[in-house]
Amino acid sequence: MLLVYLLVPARGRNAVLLAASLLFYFWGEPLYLLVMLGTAALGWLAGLALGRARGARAERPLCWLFSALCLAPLLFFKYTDFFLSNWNALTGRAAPLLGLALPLGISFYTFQVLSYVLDVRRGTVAVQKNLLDFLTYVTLFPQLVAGPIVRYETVERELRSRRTTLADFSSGVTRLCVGLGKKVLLANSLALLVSREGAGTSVLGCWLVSFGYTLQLYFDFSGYSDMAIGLGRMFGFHFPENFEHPYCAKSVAEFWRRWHISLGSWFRDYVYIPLGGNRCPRLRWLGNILAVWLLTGFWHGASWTFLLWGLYFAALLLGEKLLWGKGLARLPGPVQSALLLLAVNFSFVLFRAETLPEAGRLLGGMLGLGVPAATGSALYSLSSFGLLLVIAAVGATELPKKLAAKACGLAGGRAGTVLEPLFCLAVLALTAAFLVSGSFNPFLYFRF
Amino acid sequence: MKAKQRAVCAVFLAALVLFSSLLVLLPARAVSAAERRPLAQLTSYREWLSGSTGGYSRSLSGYFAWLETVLQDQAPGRDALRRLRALAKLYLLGERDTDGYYAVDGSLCKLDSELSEKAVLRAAERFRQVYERYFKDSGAHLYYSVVPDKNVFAAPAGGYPHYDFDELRELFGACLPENFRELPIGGLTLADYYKTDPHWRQEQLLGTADALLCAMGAAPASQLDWQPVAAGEFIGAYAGHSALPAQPDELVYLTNDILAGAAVYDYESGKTAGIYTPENLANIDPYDVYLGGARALLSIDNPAQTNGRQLVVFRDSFGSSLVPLLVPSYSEVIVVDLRYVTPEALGRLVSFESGCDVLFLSSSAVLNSYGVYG
Repeated sequence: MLLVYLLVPARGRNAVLLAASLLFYFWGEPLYLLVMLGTAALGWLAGLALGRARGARAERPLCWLFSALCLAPLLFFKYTDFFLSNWNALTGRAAPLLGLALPLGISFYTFQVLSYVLDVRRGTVAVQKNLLDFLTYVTLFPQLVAGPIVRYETVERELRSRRTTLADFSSGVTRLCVGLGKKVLLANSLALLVSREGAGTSVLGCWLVSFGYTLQLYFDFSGYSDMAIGLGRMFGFHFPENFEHPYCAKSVAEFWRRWHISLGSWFRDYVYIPLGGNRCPRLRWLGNILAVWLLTGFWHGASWTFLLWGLYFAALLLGEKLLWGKGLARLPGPVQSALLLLAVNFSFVLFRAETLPEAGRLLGGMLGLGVPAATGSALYSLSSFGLLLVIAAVGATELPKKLAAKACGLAGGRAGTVLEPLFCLAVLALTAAFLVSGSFNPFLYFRF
Repeated sequence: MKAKQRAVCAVFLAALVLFSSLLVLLPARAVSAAERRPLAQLTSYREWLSGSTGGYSRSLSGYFAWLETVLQDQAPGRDALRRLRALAKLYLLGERDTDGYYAVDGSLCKLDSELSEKAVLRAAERFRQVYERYFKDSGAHLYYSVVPDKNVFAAPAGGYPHYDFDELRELFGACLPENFRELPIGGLTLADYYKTDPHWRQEQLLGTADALLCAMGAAPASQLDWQPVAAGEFIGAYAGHSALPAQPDELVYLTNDILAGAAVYDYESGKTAGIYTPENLANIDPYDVYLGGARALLSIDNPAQTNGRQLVVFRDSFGSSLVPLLVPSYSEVIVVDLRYVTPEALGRLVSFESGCDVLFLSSSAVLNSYGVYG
């Protein structure tokens, strides 16, 4: 596919990308391809309609209507059973649940389409009249199923015209390899630790699970983003960064500027600021914060654990802004980072749990409630995965990036000519080795 | 800068083209000798639907998932890649085992850290059913032995988690009828097992066989002349499954004139063969040389022994190499593997003599695996 893409004339490249993207999605979700195409077609029609209605009284209701229509599949597939089961629990009824599988990447492509519709309404992007180009944007396979959430304005120009340069292609390859290594070598190996100690039968075991999962989630998700950004570059696109070493942050607010950046900025620009942001009375501002974080939690999944997870971050952010933020800022940097990491670690216990009691059990275990300090199994896991945890913890900082830049700069930059291709080759060989004999390890963010 | 960029692109494209070309050009492999399993084959959707779907849903998405399995199985250099992964896990990521396999003194073992009471009770229940149906009030002499898994020796030595073997033995014994007598298997060390395989080495088992035979009031085996036959190099199941580098073992079987005259009748195939089947050395598992490998029900007739005694052995694969050493002391030996034949079916196929010796011989690894006995 890559060769075909590089060989066809520029005007045919979107068609090649679209065909590849549809095949890619069809491979994973044959039936739900229609849902994705339907949402994309709605978004395209919305753009046309809003373009024609510009300045007219119908523009605003049209925007609402199309936004609601674009959101409808997401609400239906992702949230119906949540509302039904809670309705059943409240009323004692037994309305049957739908039990539908969630279409792959629906939360991501729906938000992409919505961003386009809202941006057309705002007049910040031009209406895309070419259906093929618009479908190419929505279905772009590198970031289709797990982000980053690429806004239309980011790739508007590149959809029309782009060049794949040698520099872009090679940096894309390196970025792809970094992502592969993060996902296949680190995240999947950490997943083994998490599943082995998943029962959380000791304090040590519970901490291994929570810390292991915190690292796994970062490498899994940021690895996917790296692959998406790398593949994008190989095809001439420049997607936004989605992670900036979030575990090095010193505050919760900074963490969210570094973690899943495309989602955070989406909610900021399309929910928080339109609601009034912080330029409004304090009570309203509190409401805005709560609304955004409830929605952020709910975006991740239709369960109380995710809602609570969102509220947890809302509480931390409010506490940081109103209560302890200034005091924290006076502490040494590493202490601030450690405290942040601890807070994030606790949050991901909620994030990982299927149910609130499950999260409660693990949190209780971490605090030593009703479990021994360590079991033989936990001690073995620590000895077996200790090095991996250290590698992953260091890998989550900026240190590897700095070291790589320094190493490649040796001998007047000539070292990079050998080291970077060798790095890529080693990662490709190792990931092939891990994938060939490994078990099924889907990306954690695929379920969103 | 441009040189670096060109080198990166060249390496990536070369790897991509090479891997894809080899995948297309190399003939499909039917079986993985190392993993001892058939490999998934590329088939059309229709053909795939008409056969076993390999656990995937009968749908297009199931078929696509299946194709990914085919790609994994038929990947060029699969065995080398599996080796690379195992080494990377151990030496790059510092994991102490790879998919549960670890090495102590060059001997490969598999982690088995939790005692599964459920599994032990299930096995004991199965044996109790057999007892109730065939041996209660029959005058049979009932014995049981638990063969220690390699972990029993290797895990404590290597600092790996393990359950208490004696606890398993005691739990198992407590669940069996009271008239079962335990014949403990002692004196074994890690050196008595193959380095690359879970099984014990037959040439090391004369002492064990003697202990069992003497306890059952039969003539010891070690008094006989035994000729060791070297059957060549043996790369066992653990080496294949773990993909860890290991020196091959040497497979040896012990024979003599008595065994040469014994006939083994296989109730499954209806064929009679010898105690050893050297042609099975070419099988995926050369351990099949002992009593033809995994068989449900065998009857061994020993014309050289005229004492008229019958021994019934309920066994797993560990019994395959031990039973030949017990044969000379009995006129007839019935060998049953309850994993492959139900207790109900047994009575329709064989008859047990009153006063026979009955030995339930199970490895701790099998006893501790839930589901093995249904």
